[in-house]
This record gives sequence, C-alpha cells and structure tokens, in this order.
Amino acid sequence: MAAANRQVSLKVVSAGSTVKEETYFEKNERLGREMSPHLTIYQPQLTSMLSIMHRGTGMALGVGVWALGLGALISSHDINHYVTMVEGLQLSGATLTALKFIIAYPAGYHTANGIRHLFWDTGRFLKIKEVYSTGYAMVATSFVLTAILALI
Amino acid sequence: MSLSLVLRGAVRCNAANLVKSARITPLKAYSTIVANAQRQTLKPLALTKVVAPVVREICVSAPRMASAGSSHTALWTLERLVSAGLLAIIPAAFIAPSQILDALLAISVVIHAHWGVEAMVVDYMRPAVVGNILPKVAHIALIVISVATLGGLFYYIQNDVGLTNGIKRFWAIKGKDAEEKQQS
Repeated sequence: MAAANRQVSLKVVSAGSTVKEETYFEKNERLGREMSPHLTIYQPQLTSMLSIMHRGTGMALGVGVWALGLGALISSHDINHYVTMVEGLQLSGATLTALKFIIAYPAGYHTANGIRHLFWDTGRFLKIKEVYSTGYAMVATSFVLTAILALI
Repeated sequence: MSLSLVLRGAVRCNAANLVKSARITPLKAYSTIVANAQRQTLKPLALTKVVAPVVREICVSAPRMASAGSSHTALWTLERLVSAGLLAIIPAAFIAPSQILDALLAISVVIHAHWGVEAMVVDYMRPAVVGNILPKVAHIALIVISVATLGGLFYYIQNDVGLTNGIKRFWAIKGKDAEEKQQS
C-alpha cells in the first residue's frame, strides 16, 4: 500500500537530445579517472587460459600461412633454395626435433582444442565439470599429437 | 509540496487536471502521468505524504546501434563446416599429395584463418577504443592479405613442387649427425 503512493510520470523526448557530445572514454579521460583493474586482478582459470591459447595458436598458425603465401609472391627463389639454406645451418638431429616440436605445437594445440570447440558447437560437454575434464584431456592430446608430428 | 497546495483548491483529483493546474512539467514537454487506481479513494490530506512525481526521460526512437542487417547463422554454420572439413583435408593432402587436394587445402586454410583473424579484429579493434577509421582499415587490410596469401599459395601449387610437398621437404631436413651416419 505504501509503495502505491508514488506517482510515476514518463517524459517523451526527441532522440537528438539524448546524444552526448563526448564518448564514455573521452569523458572519463577529461575527468582524469583511471580505469579499474580487470585483467591484472582476475584469477587465471583453465577456461580462460585455454581459450586465449586457442586464439594465440590460431594467430601463430595464421602468421605462418601468411608467411608461406606472401613469401611465395615476394621471393625470387623456389622452395628448394630455402630448404638448402636451412640444411646449410648444419643443425643436429636433436635440435631439429626440438625445433619441429616447437613449430608443430601450435598446430597440435589448435587442432585438439578445435575438436573440443566443435563438440561444444553440437551442444556436448558444456557443463563446467566436462569443460574442465575435456580441457585437461585436450592439453594431453595436444602434446601427443605434436610429438607424433615432430617425429615424422 | 506544490501538490498539497494544489489539492486544497482542486476540484477533481485526476492526473490530467493535476498537470494542467500545478504546471509540474513544462508546457513544451508532453507527459503522461500514470495514475494509481487506489489514489482515487484516498482522502486528500493523506496525499501530502506523496513524494513528488518521478519524471523519467524516454526516447521513443531507439538509436540504431551496431545491429546486423541479416541473419548470421548461415555464416556460422559454414565456419563450423570448414573447420570440420579441415580435419579431413589436412591429413588427406599430406598422405596423398596432388594439385587438387593442395588447392582445396589452401582455400580451406586461408578462409579459416581469415574468419579467425576477422573475429580478433572485431573483438579488439572496437570503435569506442581505437576510433572509427582503424577498424575499417584493418578489415580491408585483412581481405587484401587473405587474397594475396591465397594467390601466393596457388602460385606454389602451380609453379613449384606443391604445397604439401614443399612442407614435407622442410620437415625432412636431416640433422648433420644423421648425415654422417648415412655416409659411414
């Protein structure tokens, strides 16, 4: 009953009068306000870390693809020239395997997590426990996959 | 306060008369007052407890924000199909190298990378943060890079040993101790 005593009126205004001169960010900069900490204080979790790794490995692979494609357009030599160049470095077998592991890891991780994403897209494994268990399984799979690729 | 002054002389306590007689809201503004059904039965003196009317500004024409002009679902489905297709085409192209599989691989990989980097550009180059020009420039640059990459990869496939064969050759580089073992 007490709440019913309040009178509410609505004032209809034109759209133009609600447009502000400066943006949210410009206003806060003008007032000299700092941004609250966000990325620096939020606790890293498996979910967010695996997700940003997926983006990071995807970007790394993308840069590799661009380098291959754009390199083909720019360079004046064929691919055998570059193969000979790398052979000339005379790296040891162990170094080469280690390098191949490092180069292949983004591919292994991105493929394994990509499969996990596709499962999510079908509506599977979306409960938080399943997200965590598939997350750990995926990281293990990524290492196995990369090891296979590095040893070929 | 003005309400109670008005009500002593008011003939009828309804919403429209309140507005006209009390001039609570300026003449230019068009306002509606939502009258509470129970108020009509309340005694005039009890109304002195009433808080002044709350006036909220509402905009009738909703500003068009970043709204999509068409449905996104077809593109989403296509993205997932290409992603799943990559799982098949990459092993196939490496196991049985051919120009056709190489070309399919190049197209799938470039379009997959394009959509991925496009998502990053949309997420991180927000107009509120970087201004209005940079996101558009980034989108156009991405299209140019993707087209050029696809062109370069097709050039490989056509004029060089082929995409998968080239990668295999890099991967097959042997270490110097392996070469010594082969010679001895």
